[in-house]
Amino acid sequence: MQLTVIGLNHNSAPIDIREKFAVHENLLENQYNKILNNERIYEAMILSTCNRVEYYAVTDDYVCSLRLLSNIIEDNSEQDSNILKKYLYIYCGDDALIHIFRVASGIDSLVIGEPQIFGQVKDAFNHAKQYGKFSTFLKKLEQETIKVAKKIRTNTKIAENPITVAYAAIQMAKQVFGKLENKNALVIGAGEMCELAAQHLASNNLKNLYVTNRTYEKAFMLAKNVDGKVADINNIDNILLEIDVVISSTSSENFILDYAYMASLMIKRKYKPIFFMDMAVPRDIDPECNKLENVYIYDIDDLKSIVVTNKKIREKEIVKAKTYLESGVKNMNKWLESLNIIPVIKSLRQAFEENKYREVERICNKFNINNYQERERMQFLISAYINRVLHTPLTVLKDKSSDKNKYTLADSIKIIFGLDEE
Amino acid sequence: MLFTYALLFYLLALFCIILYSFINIRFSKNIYTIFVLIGLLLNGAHIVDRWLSTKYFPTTSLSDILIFLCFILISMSIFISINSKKPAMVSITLPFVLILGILSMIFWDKPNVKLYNNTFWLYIHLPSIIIGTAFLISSAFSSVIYLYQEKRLRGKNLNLISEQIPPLEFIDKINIYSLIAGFVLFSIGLLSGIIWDFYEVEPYKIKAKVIFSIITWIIFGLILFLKNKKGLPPGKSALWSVIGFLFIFITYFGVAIFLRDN
Repeated sequence: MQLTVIGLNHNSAPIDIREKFAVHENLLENQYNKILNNERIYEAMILSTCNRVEYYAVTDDYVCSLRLLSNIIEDNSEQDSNILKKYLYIYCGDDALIHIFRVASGIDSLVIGEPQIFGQVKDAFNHAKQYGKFSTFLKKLEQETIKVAKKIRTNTKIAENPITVAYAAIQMAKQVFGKLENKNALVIGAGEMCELAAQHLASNNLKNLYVTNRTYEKAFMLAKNVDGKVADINNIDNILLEIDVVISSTSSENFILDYAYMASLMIKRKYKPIFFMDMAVPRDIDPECNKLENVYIYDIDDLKSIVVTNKKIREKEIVKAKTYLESGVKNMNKWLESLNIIPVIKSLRQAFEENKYREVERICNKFNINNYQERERMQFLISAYINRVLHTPLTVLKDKSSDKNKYTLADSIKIIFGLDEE
Repeated sequence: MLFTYALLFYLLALFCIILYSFINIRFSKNIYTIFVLIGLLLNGAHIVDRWLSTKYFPTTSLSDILIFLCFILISMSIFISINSKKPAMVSITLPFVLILGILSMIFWDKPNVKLYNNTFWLYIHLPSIIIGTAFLISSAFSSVIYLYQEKRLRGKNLNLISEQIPPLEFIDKINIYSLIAGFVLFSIGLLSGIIWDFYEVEPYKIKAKVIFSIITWIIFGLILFLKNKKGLPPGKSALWSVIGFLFIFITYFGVAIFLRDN
């Protein structure tokens, strides 16, 4: 049983391709059903963020599982398989483990060390619990992933002074406007990204900060937190006339602002510059609008220029993180190998239990003991003895199950029963 | 002589900016300001020296006009660059000033405007037209910077040079303020020049210089009108400013021809 992953991210595919693969939360159940219909896939997890779409599968047949996953991806994106091949990557076994640890710790992010991905990975595990089969492997993987990610973020400087995607977006807006003081900004959406963006924007002494969202309550809460105003999503036309910076991250499958709308809006605005940071995948704002005079639209991929410096600073820390990644893989492998010994342990216990009943029956018949309570006490006594006797061998068996050394039979007995220590 | 030294310092400043902008040699960023300021001081000293020696403000020969234009252009560009903390405006102005400097040396021995014409209207005409022209040139330069940076931002392709350029909104503001100031001064200069020409020099004679000046005035006037009334996009107004600049250039050549003819 091993982990395998197939997917695409900001390094392998541009945003216009990635947005075709994005898996919305309302489609997750369907996706999990499709994956888990295959009897060779025991557990599965889907991670879909603005930077990546990845399918994780626990399987004992890579080839078959990968074929199925790539078929599912192909169906979702309605892309030709030959085109798909250019953008997809596949990791199996240890490589897959390292990959998920890198993703969760933010090493694989566009903005290295950004904290949001950790929450997104946790969410993906939770969705797997909710919609898919979440059994021993994913449980252990979740624990180990969180452990490794936390270690990397605490013991290296990867997450020190983190540059978030939202921060990078505001830096881009400053290329157009300089200081954002006395500017009007609008945040479309109320998710984590928007919350961060709103917080960053609020610290820039804006004239007005508007928040709009499909769910009014969410927009209201966010606006309240950042001292902003709520805007009705169905009536943002008037607000857009005075807005300078728009940050958008919704889960809408279609454009919220299309070319025709923006073209007419710009005439009404007398071509006053407007900056859009579209952090959504699929995108919220029609990229064609970038052709309009004084409309500057940036998407998540356009932040690459800003994050280059961030990457250079954190490259040394990535080297340091390697130790934690390897230790995570080692722990997972040790645990996996320990799984092989479990049937042996079960059989051993079963054999002892069966013998216990047989012996109790034999002794009771021999000494004519018919009292039920007496029999119970005898069984309790033998059970306690068995537990005592088996404790050391079973613990040693679990611990040493991945031990590759060769021992003689006598040495094995000594190790298993801990005879050397005595 | 003082102006030659000024040009030398302008050249050194340009060299420092090139080192900083293209090779990213950081220390040269701090030095360029010093060189420009020394150059500006020498440029100013030259104008004062000429003023004291000739007893009238030195704007009556093409050479003097060009030197005064250099002084105004550098003053404006250094003011903008210090304010924005980005050397883009000085970078684009310096090569132009060096060309003007060389031209001023070429026209060094050319005759002055005849002093019998040195009346009230001329005193208004010359400073207004020169300072107005400097503002319009500054507006055209900011337009070039705007167009460059806009292209980079739109193409999402920022480079080392882009880092030396102030935010687009700042450049647009410089463009519009220079345009307004330049247009007002140019209008005063043009009007006073026409009156001076009509009453003092050669009435009822249409000259190429005047025609080109009027065309320039119309172009910049149109940009201002469209920008305020119709909301002319900054990109388009920048493009028109550059076209206006070409007409300024032609007008000045016209001046050279005019002076040579006189």
